[in-house]
Amino acid sequence: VEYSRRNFLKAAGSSAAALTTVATGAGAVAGAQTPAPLAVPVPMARETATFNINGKPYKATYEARTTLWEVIAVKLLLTGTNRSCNRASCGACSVLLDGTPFYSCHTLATEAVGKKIFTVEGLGDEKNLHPMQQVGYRYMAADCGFCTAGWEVTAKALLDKNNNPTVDEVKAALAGHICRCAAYPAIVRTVIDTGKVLRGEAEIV
Amino acid sequence: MSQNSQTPRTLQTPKTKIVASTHNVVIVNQPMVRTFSTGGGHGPEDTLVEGDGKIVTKKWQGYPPQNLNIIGKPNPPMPEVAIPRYTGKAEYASRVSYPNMVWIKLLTSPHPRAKIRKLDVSQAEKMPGVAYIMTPQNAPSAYPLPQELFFHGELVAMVAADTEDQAEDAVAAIDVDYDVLPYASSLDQVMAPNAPDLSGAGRGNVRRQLAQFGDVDKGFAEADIIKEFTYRFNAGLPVPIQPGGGVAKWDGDKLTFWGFGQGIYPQRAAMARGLGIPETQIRFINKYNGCTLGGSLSLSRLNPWIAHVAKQAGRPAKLQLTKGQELAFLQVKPQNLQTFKVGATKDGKITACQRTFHVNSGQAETAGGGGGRSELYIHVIPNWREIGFMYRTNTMQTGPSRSNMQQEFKFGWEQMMDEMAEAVGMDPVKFRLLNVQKPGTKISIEQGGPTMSIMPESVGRVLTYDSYASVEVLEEGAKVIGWEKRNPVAGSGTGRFKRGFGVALNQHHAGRVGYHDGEAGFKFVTERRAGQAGQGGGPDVYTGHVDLTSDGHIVLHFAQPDSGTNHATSMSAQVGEILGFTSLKNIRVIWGDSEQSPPAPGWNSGLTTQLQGGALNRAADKLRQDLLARASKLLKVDAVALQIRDGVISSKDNPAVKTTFAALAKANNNGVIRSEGKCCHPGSIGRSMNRGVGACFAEVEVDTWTGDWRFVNAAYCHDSGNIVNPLLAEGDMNGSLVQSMQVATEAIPWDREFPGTTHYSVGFLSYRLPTIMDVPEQTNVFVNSLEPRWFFGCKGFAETAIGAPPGALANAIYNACGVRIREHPITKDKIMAGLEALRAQRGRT
Repeated sequence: VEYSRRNFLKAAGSSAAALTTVATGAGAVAGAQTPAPLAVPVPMARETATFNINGKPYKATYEARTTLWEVIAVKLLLTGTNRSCNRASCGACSVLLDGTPFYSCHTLATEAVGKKIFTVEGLGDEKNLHPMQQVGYRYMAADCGFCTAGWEVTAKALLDKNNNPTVDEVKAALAGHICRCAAYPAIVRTVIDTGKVLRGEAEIV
Repeated sequence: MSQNSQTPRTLQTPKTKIVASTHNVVIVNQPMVRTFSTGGGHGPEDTLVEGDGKIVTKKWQGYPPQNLNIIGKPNPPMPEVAIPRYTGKAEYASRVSYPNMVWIKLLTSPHPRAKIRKLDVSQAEKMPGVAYIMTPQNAPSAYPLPQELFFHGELVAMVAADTEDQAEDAVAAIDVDYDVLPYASSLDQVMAPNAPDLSGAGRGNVRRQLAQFGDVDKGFAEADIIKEFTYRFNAGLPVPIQPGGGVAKWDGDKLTFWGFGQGIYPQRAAMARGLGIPETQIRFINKYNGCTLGGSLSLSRLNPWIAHVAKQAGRPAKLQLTKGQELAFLQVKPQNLQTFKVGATKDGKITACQRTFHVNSGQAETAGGGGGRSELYIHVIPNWREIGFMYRTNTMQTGPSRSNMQQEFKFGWEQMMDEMAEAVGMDPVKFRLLNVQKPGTKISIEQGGPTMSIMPESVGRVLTYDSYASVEVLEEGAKVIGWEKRNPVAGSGTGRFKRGFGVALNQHHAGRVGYHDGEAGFKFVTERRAGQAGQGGGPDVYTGHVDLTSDGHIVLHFAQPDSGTNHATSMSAQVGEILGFTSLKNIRVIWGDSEQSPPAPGWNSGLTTQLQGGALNRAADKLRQDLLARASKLLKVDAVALQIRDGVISSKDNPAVKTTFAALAKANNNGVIRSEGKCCHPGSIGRSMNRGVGACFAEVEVDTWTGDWRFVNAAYCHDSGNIVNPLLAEGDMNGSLVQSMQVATEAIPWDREFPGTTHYSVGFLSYRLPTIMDVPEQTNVFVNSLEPRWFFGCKGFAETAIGAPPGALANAIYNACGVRIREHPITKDKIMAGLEALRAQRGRT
């Protein structure tokens, strides 16, 4: 049996394991020998909950093993958050839970109930772009754009706490995000200069 | 103006203005008039004649690189393409969702070679949510599943269910048993005496290649120094970030398919063949990709099965591969073993080179497998011999993957050049300058090597480079990186952390198109493939539409999907210049949908702006002539006396006599004036040959206590022609460098996960990709070599330098610490082992 998130999460059960535990566990399992096949409970237990996403309530019914990404993007059709590796290693699927970035592919949906969920849809749309989206557009911080929704919310979490970060602080905050187009220099510039806009020291023209 | 106390004081310092701008770019302009010009070039005696309805020369295709308003400016990309990437609205296939859609999961082969003995889906079919299971028994007859599984990860069955988890549960419930067959996956296994017979499917076990030029024995006799080297490359893959897959939805017998790749019409044609339906019954949409990097071209083989599953399930169906499964379906840079025997005079001229290479070309090799090497035509090698062996093995497909046959061969070649430079006691930059092609160098196709002789442009037998900046990419790069700081003796620095510098050269496709050279090709190709334009790859015809709408907007229609390439922006810039605009404000693009975009082959090799752009430029050129003719009639002014600026056509003598694009469109019957242009690869008829060349300079720092190392600085240099948009060019080249750096530092983990059997990893966890912490300070150097055969002096350059980073990094590490990494990948363990060996050696002496 190939290692998979599904098997791992079945092992973790639907208890509200902290993300750090999940992420560490994933790394450990991947490096280990083939895990034994797990019994599949049929049918899976189902849950219904209301999620607070970008300040709005969304109700969803889902199997207990369902990840937060699946609820957000598949059940609720907030598809802006992209899932790439599905292994908690690339950061594309990041969302904020109570202001802290989480990999939604390795967070059980049930863990997010009662928390404030923030996704790229909450950042800004084409009629009302967030300064980070406007600066990023001018600096080419997105080539293909697939990782963008993930690092944008992580960078927002950083700027919410510290609107004047150093280059090293930006890099440390975004170290969990893979950009295959390697727009990294432009991403760093974007976050630094978005800070300037938020502090009123720069204007976007 | 004096500053005094009268100046009103303000408490606020002026705000920084944030405008679209590059980060770290150097542009080196070559003079417009150069003495070395040949052929379609631009010599000192030439006079440029340009203008509407006047002479259109081949120089710049009638549009010289002068008085430009859009080209050369760091304009942000077309907003309709780029803004959705920041708002989460870009339409990647992986985001597409339909009501009542089923999710597909794969059962794949756990063996490198096997036959299915038993496959029982009766339990799986009863699992909750399961809608359909496709196996070899019920796969489409025109597109069967493979009988013999030839690599680890090959497709055995597809399961469709309400949710991904349910589909995965059902995959686990399939009862399957295999007859495992003898296999050879790695080069060592296939070259061993007891390797199994893998011939079949139209392929033998090994394809041999022998080519030579001059007399190598004579060349070695003339040499003062003869050296032999061996290098090994252990396969690589610049994996894209978007998970491969697609979404299929049937409405009766009409199929809508959201795909992932580098072209919509070739994929649509392949699907139609696989499903046995006419192409026109398929609407193929692919607007955005989360990278494709060439490697994902081979994923399209899954498309017909996705559509088949949707049809049988009677519901829309979606596949989003896991990264572990996806790697098996990507095409990879093959493993190879190269040995060299090289002779040079004591003043550094190479007199002879003999190379033997063994290539692990996988279960299938795509175009050029083993044949795309350009080393022999970058350099002037008077006598050479190439002996190649391309083995069929039980691994995934090999082929173009962030270039074709560049990094994997130049990892060896560029280290060989470094080692030869040291052997003759020369600086590696000077050694290269002595042995590379330069503008004016004539090279016959026989001397240029086997790969040049398969390039159709070499029909003229002798090529002469003109716009070719081999000297500049080396000299300017050396300046930018601070080459003078290089250690004169490898490893001679002191202290724990040692810095070193390395260089490598590259050349790949790019720039090899002359628009007018291709004109005869349109006729040739269209006649040969009457009624089928756009169905295949390679030499087919690219079509583009440029519409003028009644509100004065210009709308470009073209097929090519965007993988972060942003070619829409560079093509719009060229069209905008042709039509007299000073900004991109009035230009719109519609792309990537077979119902809205005219036919074209796919894109590759960094030639999009030239091939698809050539079609659009041609359409814009025709539209310009058409609008001038209409305005001339309306204003009763000779077309030659008219000027165009930002949608207004006026008399040069009396600007008050004028009309607008919008008015001309409104006066047309349907309110739209459409212009169609075509372009094809001049290779179709055997013309034109200008190429791009690139160099990578790397500065690294090695921790001699741990073997750990850092890529500190890079000067990444490109023979780019006139840069259409430096902001986009920089973004593109940052990706190119880092993707190639990853190829240098990470092999496909052949044996890491399941020793001896598996050949792909579990995904990003073990296949390490460079993060924000790993990338160097990068300066991109663009040499504006003014391609004489192209609009505005532009040329393609997306892959001109891409093969260089692996060799440059290996050379820089050697210069830093004296450790030569001849076996890929570059790892800290190998550096540490080399440092230990050096210490032991010093201890003995």
